[in-house]
Amino acid sequence: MLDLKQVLKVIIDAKLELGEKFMPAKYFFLLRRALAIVLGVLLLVGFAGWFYPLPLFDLQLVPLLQSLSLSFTTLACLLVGVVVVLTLLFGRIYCSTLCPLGLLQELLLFLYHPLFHRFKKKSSGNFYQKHYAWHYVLAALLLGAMLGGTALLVRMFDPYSIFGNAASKARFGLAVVMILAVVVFFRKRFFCVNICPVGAVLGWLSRFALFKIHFAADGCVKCGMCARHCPSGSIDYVNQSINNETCVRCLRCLVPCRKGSIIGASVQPKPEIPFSPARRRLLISAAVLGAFAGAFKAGASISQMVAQKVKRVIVPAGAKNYRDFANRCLNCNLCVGNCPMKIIKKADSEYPAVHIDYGENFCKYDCCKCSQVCPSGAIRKIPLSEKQNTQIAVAVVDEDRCIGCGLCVRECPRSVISKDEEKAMVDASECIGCGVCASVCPVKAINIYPVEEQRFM
Amino acid sequence: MNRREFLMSTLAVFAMSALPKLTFGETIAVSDALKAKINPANKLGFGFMRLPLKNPDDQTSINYDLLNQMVDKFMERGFTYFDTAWMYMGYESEVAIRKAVVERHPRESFTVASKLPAGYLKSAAEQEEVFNKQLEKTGLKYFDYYMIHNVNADTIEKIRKYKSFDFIKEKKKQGLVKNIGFSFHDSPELLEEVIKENPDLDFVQLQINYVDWDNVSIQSRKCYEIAVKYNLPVVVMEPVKGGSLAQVPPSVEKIFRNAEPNMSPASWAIRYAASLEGVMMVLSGMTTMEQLEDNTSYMQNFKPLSAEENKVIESALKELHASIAIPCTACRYCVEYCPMKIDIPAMFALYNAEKQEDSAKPFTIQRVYYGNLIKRSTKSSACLHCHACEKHCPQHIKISDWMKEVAKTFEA
Repeated sequence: MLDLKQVLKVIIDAKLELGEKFMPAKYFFLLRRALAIVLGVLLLVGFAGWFYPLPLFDLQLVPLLQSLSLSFTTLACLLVGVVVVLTLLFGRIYCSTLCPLGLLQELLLFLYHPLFHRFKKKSSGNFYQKHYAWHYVLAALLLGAMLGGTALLVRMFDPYSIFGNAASKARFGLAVVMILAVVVFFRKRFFCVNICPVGAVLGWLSRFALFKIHFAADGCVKCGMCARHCPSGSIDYVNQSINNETCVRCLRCLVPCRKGSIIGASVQPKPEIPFSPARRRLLISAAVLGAFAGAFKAGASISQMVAQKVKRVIVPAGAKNYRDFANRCLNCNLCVGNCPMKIIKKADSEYPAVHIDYGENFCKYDCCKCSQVCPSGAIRKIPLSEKQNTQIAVAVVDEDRCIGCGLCVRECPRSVISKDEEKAMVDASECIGCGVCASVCPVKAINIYPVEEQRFM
Repeated sequence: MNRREFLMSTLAVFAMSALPKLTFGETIAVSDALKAKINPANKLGFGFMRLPLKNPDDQTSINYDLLNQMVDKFMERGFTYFDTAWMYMGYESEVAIRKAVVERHPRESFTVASKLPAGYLKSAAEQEEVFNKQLEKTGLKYFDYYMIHNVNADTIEKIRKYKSFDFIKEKKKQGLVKNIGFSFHDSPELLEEVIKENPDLDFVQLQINYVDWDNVSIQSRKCYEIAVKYNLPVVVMEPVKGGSLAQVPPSVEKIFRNAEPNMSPASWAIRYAASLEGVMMVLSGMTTMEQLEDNTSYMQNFKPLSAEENKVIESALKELHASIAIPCTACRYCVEYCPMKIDIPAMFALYNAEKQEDSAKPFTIQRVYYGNLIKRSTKSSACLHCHACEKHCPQHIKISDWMKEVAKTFEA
């Protein structure tokens, strides 16, 4: 029978040889880094709201999984497929090239590099990063709770949420990034190896990856340069083995190897590290499954508790209601940066997720950018026509204050305000609560109240 | 109009006029198994929650001279069922059972029902403590009927946590309780949920009277139908709605007296509840000898309401409804438009029921229902007065203004 792996190996080895002749191994790294820089810039301008490369944010795994669990769309399925196939081909390349926090860590490592030379020269002994089993349990807990109903926990660990939070200068994100900066200095990508829930999922998947990094059969002189440069500490150069589960495929190891004995892309005949004996593996799997099931159940009750407690606020159109939204929003603050009217505010002590504040401005009638950018499904992707017909709040005229100037009547984009006996009257069942009227009212006679449940009319 | 059209419309008019009759009264068939559990000759229970007092300001100053006479008369006329609970009469009701019934009559001649105050307990262990104290207070070796008191959306969490149903089932196994059940004041959905969770119960205690039968908020009919569906005999509480159906407006009383000059309005209410085939017992909290004599007189040789008598109640109910405050028909068109998701028809139904009762009362059962309602719906005081609902109300009710009144009545 034809062995697919063998066939692929022959093809790839042949190409690789061609590639080797065509360009040295380290250019693979440089190519990837160039890609990473481009993506990093795109991510930054995306968070700043200048330009948003849609698929990049939609590809982020945690928001993607949540949006899939909330509404099963073809696009979301396709994107999950892309991530899975990418990982099954190239391992955790997502972590080094697509993940914003991964890119940030790469930048930090780049900046720290001269410092490492000065301070850590002597500690050349152990670069190998231990990969703890609780990493999987943590991921199971966080993702279980998320699928169970609340993203409140996962967003504290999800690299995308942390990065977005920090990029919008929110306190939580900045604090985590600062801690991360210290951790990176001492333990490099400790976060990716032992904490990140996305890393756990993709790491497990990359066990089965087609292309793996491994030592060539001959040529290695055990100089340890590859291990020294490996950001995730995946290389045990003494035993010539590479932990492909923690390796983020940054290809950094290819650069310093003068002998060319680390091979970037090849079909592995068998996994390099025999991860654990069967019994241990069984115990871990049981713990992971147990944690997932427990967290799934707990997530449902936590989400209800949160829903009971949160303050009533206005949430963007497509978010259904403020109770669910508090549980679903990942606080990446992408919508905060992208809102042209800057009415979406970051989470504060009163409400644990982003929310609308009409203090200075109103919601533009022909804009639904927040719903377009949100990758997590917390704000559903709705067309403009739906947004224009979705009631997110309701305007109520204070008749004692109204002077009957008629400004609101003129400005209302839906023409639902009329003047009756010299006082403004809002047809509250047609009002979508965009807040234009309140912002133009010279005597502040219009109050905008959040609705209990958004209504599409 | 040709002949065909004429016939069709006549038929339609007949069908329409038959519709209210179809919806009033009993609609669900009671199985023979359930009928076998019920003795139609003994359907009146003595509720020990409105006992005669020596000092009207002190709930515990029970007038035993009168109570003993009342109990004797009650039993003399062939009735046996006494209903008490942990908290009634300032925790004295169970003692009154001992003094007036247990110590004065042989054990076989009466049955006693008491209740586990699950909502008031602070731990699962307290159940055992309270139960033993109840036996001690009543001086009984066993209860004939024992139920979990006031199961609702709020208390059910605690009841599940403390495994109260398992507790009473255990007591039944030990022979300390003969029949188990629960008393209930919430939605039919929850009732069905609880019955499904505990299939081996013997009875349920429900609030049933002709006013609440189709009240959209109290939903007596649906609750009753669920009990019948699961073959559970029903013990009726509040048949005269806390006395308010004994003191009906004069126009309503006139209807009753015209039909039957010697029958009190209360008798109609109690007979209405007792006429339901699935009802095993109708509880009445009797305070005076007159009440007791009146109740026992028509329950002694109880005859279910006849078709004509049902019509009398129907017209009395119409008259009662004519005097109601808010003419809401519970079409629920408004509900969709309410930005605060207030259950407007349910609020109005409770308000109407409240207004039909004596306004001087410090506590009414509607307040209990309101407390349960605002766990499912937003409370009435949250109304923004945005008037979104009013545009869609076919009855043109000034909902926003009424909502202020509802909030004032139930949340003050």
